[in-house]
Amino acid sequence: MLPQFAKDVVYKLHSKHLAVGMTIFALGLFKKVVLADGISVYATPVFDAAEAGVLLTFFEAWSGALAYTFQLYFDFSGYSDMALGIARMFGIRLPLNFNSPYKATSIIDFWRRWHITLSRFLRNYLYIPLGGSRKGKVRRHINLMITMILGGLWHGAGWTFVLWGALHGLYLMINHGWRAVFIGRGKTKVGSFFAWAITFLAVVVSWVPFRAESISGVSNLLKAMTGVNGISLPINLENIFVNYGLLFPVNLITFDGMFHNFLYGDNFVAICWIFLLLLIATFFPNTQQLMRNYKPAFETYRGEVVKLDHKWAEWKQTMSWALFISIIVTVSILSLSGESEFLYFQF
Amino acid sequence: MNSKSYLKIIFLFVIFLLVVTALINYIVDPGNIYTKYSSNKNKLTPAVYIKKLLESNYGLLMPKNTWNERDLKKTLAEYPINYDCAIIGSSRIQQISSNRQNKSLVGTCSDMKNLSVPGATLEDYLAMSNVILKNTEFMPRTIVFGIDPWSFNFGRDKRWVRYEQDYLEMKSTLFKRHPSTHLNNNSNKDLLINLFNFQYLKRSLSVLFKTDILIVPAPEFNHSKGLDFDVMLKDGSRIFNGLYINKTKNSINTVSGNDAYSKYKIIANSFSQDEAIKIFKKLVRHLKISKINIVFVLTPYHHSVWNYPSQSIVRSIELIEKKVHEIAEQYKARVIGSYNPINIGCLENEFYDSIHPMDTCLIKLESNMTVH
Repeated sequence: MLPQFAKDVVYKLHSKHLAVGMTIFALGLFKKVVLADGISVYATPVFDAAEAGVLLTFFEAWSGALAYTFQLYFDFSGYSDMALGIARMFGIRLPLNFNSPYKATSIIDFWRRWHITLSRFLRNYLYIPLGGSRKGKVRRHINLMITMILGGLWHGAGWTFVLWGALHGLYLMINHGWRAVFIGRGKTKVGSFFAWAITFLAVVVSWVPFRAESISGVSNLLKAMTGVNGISLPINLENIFVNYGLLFPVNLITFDGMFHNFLYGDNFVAICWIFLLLLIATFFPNTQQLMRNYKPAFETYRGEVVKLDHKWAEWKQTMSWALFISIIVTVSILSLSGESEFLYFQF
Repeated sequence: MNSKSYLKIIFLFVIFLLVVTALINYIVDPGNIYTKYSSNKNKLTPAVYIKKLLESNYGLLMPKNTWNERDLKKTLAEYPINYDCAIIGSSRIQQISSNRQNKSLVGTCSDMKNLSVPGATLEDYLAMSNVILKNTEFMPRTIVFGIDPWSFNFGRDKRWVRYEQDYLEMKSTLFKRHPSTHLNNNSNKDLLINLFNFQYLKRSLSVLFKTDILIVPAPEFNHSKGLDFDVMLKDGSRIFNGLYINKTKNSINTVSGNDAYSKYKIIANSFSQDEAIKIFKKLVRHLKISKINIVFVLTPYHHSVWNYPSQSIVRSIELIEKKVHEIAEQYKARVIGSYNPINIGCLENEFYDSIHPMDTCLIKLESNMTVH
């Protein structure tokens, strides 16, 4: 990366670089200001309630964990895109940092897609110096665990971060073990789907200690997510279940409403947000794929950014792309000032 | 298309969209902050609303996002009608009423105008006091200040700029200076930024296509259950809507003293400003000279808030309560209530959330009274 700075072309504004950089920056700004900030209002109250010892319902806990899962991704990848975009405006290319991590079909794959610059640093300066996989299977697993725990501590000095790192260390150990046993097996679509689902769920669970402020907060939220507090279904379902003779152990299934703690305004809107962002994170092409023809970032692994099947989706300097980018820039600018203080609101 | 054209189109189209947004926000102006009810098709003004309110039997509905409450309360304060007490404060005392089924402050006020507004701060105290004093023929015998833990600070909210001129007039009266006629730069900047606010645009668009009737009398109803909309009673007090009441009833067990809401407007290590206390004392002295009795009301915080004694909120509450008693002693004012619910016998289920007590709690306020 550094040799770029010695080139004369860097530091000079060029319309081509400006166009590419501006587009990447606009996409990043939209991810941060509209998507990440938009869903954050559904994550914070759930984690606050867990810290306060509120008995969360199964669905509240999952909605909070999922909301945070997407908040963190769109926030961080948005910032990364903005950095890539600004650098590109001046003709500089930075390393790729996010590559659709929630499309990963294994934890090993996840760490090749999430915060790539950090995982590369951890691999080169911790895992490999510790011996990596060169000193046998047992040492490899120990090295993985040490690397991930220290990676957790890199994010903050707290037991919750240690727990997060240890969880990922454990995930990686299991993943490597699985690979060793099932190596060479062909992939099926159904198998890939299950691999994705398990990976995604494991990642969502791991974000709980990452976001929580204390171990008791983690415990409260995980208890609710695993159904220890029971599973509360909509009140109006009770009659239907009773009519069909579907009876459940009293303590496991109740009919007090899915979100009966009323942690945020409109539960339906919260669910819509979560599904929308799930759709974007798992089905939509990422910024690097859209801009692939213009090589927006250095790749860490060869062929890292997969080419899009549909050429029409790739970014080009067309009127429709210009209008689309204009709209997302405008919405982002309008969202920057947050809640208007001049609006009439209750308190 | 080449890069320059691409960039030009983006630049021009963004400017176009921003201008359109600003125009919509300025012309529709759902908060009525740029123009005085210019967008109101029926020429309905706060004066019409207040007249209808006082003629009503059970109050008027307050559809959300229609009226600016500071305009309504200012108009109510100006209305030529005799009354005993003016209540000035935040949403924490909006339930205090001489009209609702559970009457509060009955030992202090025979009747009242509840002029409290959401997010009230020190600047609101000055502005509303100015409005009251200007209505020389219809001045109240007593002004009740709902003092909040954030009250002795400047700039804890911006909504008071709605009657900034009244604030400036009162400030110049207190400091014996000519009133400034200029809005401060910060207000202008905020108003300008607000033109490009997405939330305000959404509200503008909803108002633009809204068919709600702005003045609807409330039917006779049970105040503890509420209606579909909030209701303003004849004395200016507020009854929350049924949805909100039910929501809080169901969620009362989750009220947390450690949540962000309990820390509303509280900034750690900045609980009060000397200048703010100085100007508040000047205001109290000025009102006393105008032969108005002064009462301070301390509205309780939920019990759960007190479980965190080391938190800024509790330290702030204790400090400000002490400060209020000192000021009351200095100016021979009465203090009613306490931030601690145990002192006045409020129960845990007599709150909407961590900072808003229900009327059943507010009727007990006078059980804790200190006359200095």
